[in-house]
Amino acid sequence: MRRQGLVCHLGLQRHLFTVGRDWCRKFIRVNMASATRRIVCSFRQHKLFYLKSRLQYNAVALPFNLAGPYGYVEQIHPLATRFFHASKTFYGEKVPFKLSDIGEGITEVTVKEWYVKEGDKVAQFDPICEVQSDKASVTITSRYDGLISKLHYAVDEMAKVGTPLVDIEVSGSVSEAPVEELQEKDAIPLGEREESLELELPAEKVLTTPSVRKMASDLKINLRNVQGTGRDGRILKEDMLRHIESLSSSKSTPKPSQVPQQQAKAVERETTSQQPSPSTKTPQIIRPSVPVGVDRSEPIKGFKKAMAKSMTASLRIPHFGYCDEIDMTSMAALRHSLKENPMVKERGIKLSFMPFFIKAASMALHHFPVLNSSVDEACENITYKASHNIGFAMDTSLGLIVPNVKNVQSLSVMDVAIELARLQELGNKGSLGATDLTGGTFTLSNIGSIGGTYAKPVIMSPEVAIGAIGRVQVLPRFNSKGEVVRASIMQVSWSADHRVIDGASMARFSNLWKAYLENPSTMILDLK
Amino acid sequence: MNIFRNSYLLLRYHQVKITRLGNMNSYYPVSIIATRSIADDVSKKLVFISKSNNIFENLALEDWFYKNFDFENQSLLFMWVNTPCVVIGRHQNPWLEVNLKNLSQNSVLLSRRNSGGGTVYHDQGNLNCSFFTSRARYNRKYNLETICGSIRSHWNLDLTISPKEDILLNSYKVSGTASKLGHRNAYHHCTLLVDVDPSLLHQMLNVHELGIQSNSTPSVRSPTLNLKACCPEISVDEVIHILGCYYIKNSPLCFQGFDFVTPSEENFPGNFVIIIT
Repeated sequence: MRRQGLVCHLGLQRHLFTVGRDWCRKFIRVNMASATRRIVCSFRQHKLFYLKSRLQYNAVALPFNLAGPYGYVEQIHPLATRFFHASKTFYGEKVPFKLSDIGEGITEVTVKEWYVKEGDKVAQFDPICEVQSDKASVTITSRYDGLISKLHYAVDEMAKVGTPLVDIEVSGSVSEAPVEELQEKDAIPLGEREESLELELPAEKVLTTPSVRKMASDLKINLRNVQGTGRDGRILKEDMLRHIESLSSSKSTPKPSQVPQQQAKAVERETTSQQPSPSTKTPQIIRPSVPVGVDRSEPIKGFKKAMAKSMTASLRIPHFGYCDEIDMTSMAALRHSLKENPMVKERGIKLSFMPFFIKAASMALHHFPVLNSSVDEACENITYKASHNIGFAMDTSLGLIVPNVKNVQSLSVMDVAIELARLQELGNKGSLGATDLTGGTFTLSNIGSIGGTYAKPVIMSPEVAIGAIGRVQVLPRFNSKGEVVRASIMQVSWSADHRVIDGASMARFSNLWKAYLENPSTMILDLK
Repeated sequence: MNIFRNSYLLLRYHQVKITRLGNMNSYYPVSIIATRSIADDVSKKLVFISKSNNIFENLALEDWFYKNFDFENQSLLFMWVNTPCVVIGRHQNPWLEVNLKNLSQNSVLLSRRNSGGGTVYHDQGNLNCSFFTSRARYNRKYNLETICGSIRSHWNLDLTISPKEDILLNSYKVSGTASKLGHRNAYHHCTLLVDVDPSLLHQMLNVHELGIQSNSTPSVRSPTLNLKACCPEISVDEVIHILGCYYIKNSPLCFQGFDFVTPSEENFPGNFVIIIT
């Protein structure tokens, strides 16, 4: 078998292939007559075919040296082969290929080199030009397969990012040239595959395997309509089968436009059926027309806004509650006796229960420092605060504010009382300073002064615990002898951050605080 | 914490406008360019050190890495040192940049590199670092920060990065930078003047007016300084070691080790045309 050489022009590269002679004969008969049209070659040898389809080029194969018994063979100038696939009937619209964003905030670049010229054929990812920006040299590669129709910039011109760099004639909708009779007869199985390849040659090539393509072409399915689930949107065989199923099933089921109408009608029927029954059962009630007030809206400002903000922050804390009852009989008696005491009278301070509560809380916090701690936002660090800055809730005309008494651990009950009085005065005037309002580590809310027994207080971020003290009520209780005695009972409700405090710690703290208040003389034991 | 530092650096790099929102300081990146931070993904970090001192071999190897390596999941720092030579940028004219008479007299080599930028003089006291990444992860500033950070941490030299992305020491240039971006890979390489002969440097790059008009990229001349002038203990080998360790340290993966590579045809074969028979 005489072997002849074919020179295959693949873009700018020349590859040397050799094929058998009898095939060559076939090729000549098929393609010589259609030399002006785009020529697609089909190689019998598998290797060559694989090369061609991988490179996604249209290979133009022409015999360069044929001397044979075929008579009508002409010797074609090898340079002329370049232009065989430049026929305009084949390619589609001109797409301006814009200079994409290079990054680093660069808006202008200098075009330094062109790798293509007008009329050149390019494939996707072929380098088109080299641009330089500052010290970065960028190689711009083509996004489409097609033909370069216009270069917008010359070498050393400044190109703006986002403006068209080149115009590419993309092989979009393929106007298929009328297939030759010879072609069909001679290269039937391969020829069909070529056609299906051509059909999918536009700008964004659909990624599939050749077997799937054959299936699509056999069943006359457009691959663009099939949903691909493989990598990069590849259409797998399963996708094709699913598409086929859906096509066949959609024909059998009724039209989707009819179904919702039917459903709507059904719903209507149901509602109309329901309406008559209730109206018949209830009697007609005549209501006189009442003048309706007007809605009033105002922006949330000042203290209310601060409260809203802090409450939203507190919502993130997981609260747990612990409530208890305290027998305030002894404490009430103590306070009553101290009122008459000349020392208290001299200092002119009104002694309420609050200083005792605050001081007792501070003394109990010595034993349970975890309740006097602070947690950060992400709950990664816990800070055990050294000073007991115990806040107390104050209801003013402007709203709820929580000033705090600083360093209660080093203050006596009297000092606490004096400080409380000062803060209350300032609060009533509305002139509390930032230092008084910030830096609190623990809070006590005496809602009982207004009313209520048990409450569910909200922890003030970034603290971890809060207590709400209820009203002192006189209630019957059993004493140690089993007799019913009257006792001044006060409820306390604690809330703590369950991320850092467990129920046992809270309970023990509450018991200690309760012990101090039920037996005020025990406070003397822990005096510092 | 390194992860936070790197992403903070990336944020700072993209920051264009700073707005103050009440009491909060927040940096508002106006133009957010979609680049992945190097520290975000778990990518391998390689360090290669060239055993060759030939500028042509090293440039060829650099080109080989750019064309043939896949940097999707890895980044590479390639460090090389050359015998005395002058390297001009891709789009430069050697007649305008280099004093060719002095070049031939001192038998200094002349080469053109593939990336843009200006002309540099290399010798045994100059370290070249090439940072290879995928196109998406290309970040010049991060690479320069790595170099500055490593030298600053070890020798306590106050290196800063100028707006033109040169490394400055006391407002003298100690490094020149250039990069090349392709559609898949990108590299950024820079020089580092550790202990270069300053007289030879000036002789080579000192060009008299020749009256040539050219469209080539002109070099911007800047006064230079050796790192050794400010810190006598520094040497190129130590910088290689420290920079390599620092580069790998920021990687979440464990220490990979340095590889010494010899640029040769056997180790890095070129492309060849397939002939099918």
